[in-house]
Amino acid sequence: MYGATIDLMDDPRDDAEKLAAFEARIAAGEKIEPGDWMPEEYRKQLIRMISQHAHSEVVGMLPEGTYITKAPSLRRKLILLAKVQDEGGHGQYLYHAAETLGATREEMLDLLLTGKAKYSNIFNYPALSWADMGIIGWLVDGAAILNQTMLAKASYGPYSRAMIRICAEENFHMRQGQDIIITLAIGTPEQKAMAQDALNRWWWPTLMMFGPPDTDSPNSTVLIRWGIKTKTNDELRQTFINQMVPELQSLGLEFPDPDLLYDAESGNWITGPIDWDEFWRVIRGDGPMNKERLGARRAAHEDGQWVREALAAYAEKHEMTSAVL
Amino acid sequence: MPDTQWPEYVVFQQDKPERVHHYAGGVHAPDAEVALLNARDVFVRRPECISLWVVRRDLIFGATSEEISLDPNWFTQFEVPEGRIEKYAVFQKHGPRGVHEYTGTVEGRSSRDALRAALTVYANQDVTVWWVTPEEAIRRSTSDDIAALFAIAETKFYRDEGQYRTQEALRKIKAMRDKEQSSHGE
Repeated sequence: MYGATIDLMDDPRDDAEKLAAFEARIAAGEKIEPGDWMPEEYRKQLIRMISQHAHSEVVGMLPEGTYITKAPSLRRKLILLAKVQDEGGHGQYLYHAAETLGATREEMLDLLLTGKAKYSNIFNYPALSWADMGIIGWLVDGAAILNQTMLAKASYGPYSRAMIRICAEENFHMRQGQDIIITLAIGTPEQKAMAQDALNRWWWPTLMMFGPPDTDSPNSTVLIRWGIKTKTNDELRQTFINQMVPELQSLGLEFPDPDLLYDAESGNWITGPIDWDEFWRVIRGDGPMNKERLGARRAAHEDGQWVREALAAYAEKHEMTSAVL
Repeated sequence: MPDTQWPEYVVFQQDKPERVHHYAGGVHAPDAEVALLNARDVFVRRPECISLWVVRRDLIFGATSEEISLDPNWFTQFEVPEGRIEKYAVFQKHGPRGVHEYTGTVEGRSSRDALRAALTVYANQDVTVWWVTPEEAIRRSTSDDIAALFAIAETKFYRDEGQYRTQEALRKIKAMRDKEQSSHGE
């Protein structure tokens, strides 16, 4: 009897039944929660996505962090400081969501620090002027909001809930970016030129943030099937382009794309070809800032070692005291 | 010293005096004191919190309503230790989309004993997951902490997207440019 029970548990037909029930729950719009049965592939894909997302928040603090001391006013400094704190917090929410799937925080951080984990490619580009703080807020956070608004509907409960919380906070990030760019665009010719220069450098990399084209996106099908994603990379990218082009053009800024045109029939703005060779080159580690970003993350981790040791020593001493007294 | 992982603390947050504490997420910390500070940094950057509780995850005992109802012996088949009676905090998660909310306290000789008590005292058909934890295991922020931990978020208006009237500004600028262009065309 005992053996039969084990065989029954390992029977793939049993798994097929569970899989059908699981997919029916997703089709009915139910959320999958940590203790629920899920296919191993669902768990794997979610850990990959959520931890990459967490790493992106943490690495995303770096380009902006260097501008906190260079902010042009105290108000701008407070805003940027608050934004960078938010990114740190978002990383923490997301690491926690990934933990509910059985990943440990330590192994996720280890993968990041050893360069084995990916994070958003966009942060491998340098921030060269104050105007970049505006363009990052407007375009990079704008792109992130589109992606995250979709993920707020994801079938995995903890991921969906983290996204709802993050989206509410990201709207502030995009607005403060717009505020910076509008101020520069209606300012002196030099200020407007700064905004234009930032748009020139960030426009193409932000288009790549949505990931490779649908024809070349290996994970998309399974992610959509299990309700983790509900839109494809190209669909989200087109929504982003249609939103950004008229807004930035209304400020008299120009896009670094001679082929950009409005297609009245579809209502879409059509861009010239995206340089996907550049995308793959940067992802494989050969972007302008890959080494610096990882170096800064490692240094931050190593520099914090003594603080962690001190806290652990205090906790141990305190535990002994309370055990004795 | 090896850089090994600190224990996880579950964080409960109270938004307003008339609301109960609800589950917010988790943080890692070497002790409850640091867990409370980490919880503040991670979950309370905006003015929506007046109190935080942290509990080590391994001190929370949980069960789903489904597993309790599927096991006919759930209420009877376990040993109750002879130890002293302790107070336990009870948390309920309602429906498939809810998060755990503080429900009240019960007494018990063990977590399982306390959960059995909770099932009788706080019976509710809508509960999907139950948690109980010894009251003593909860580290709570106090009213003295409000000024230092929570009140400072109240005046940070710049974290509120509504403070930035950028869409309105974009509309005005566009209207001005359109007007300018049409007057050039005449």
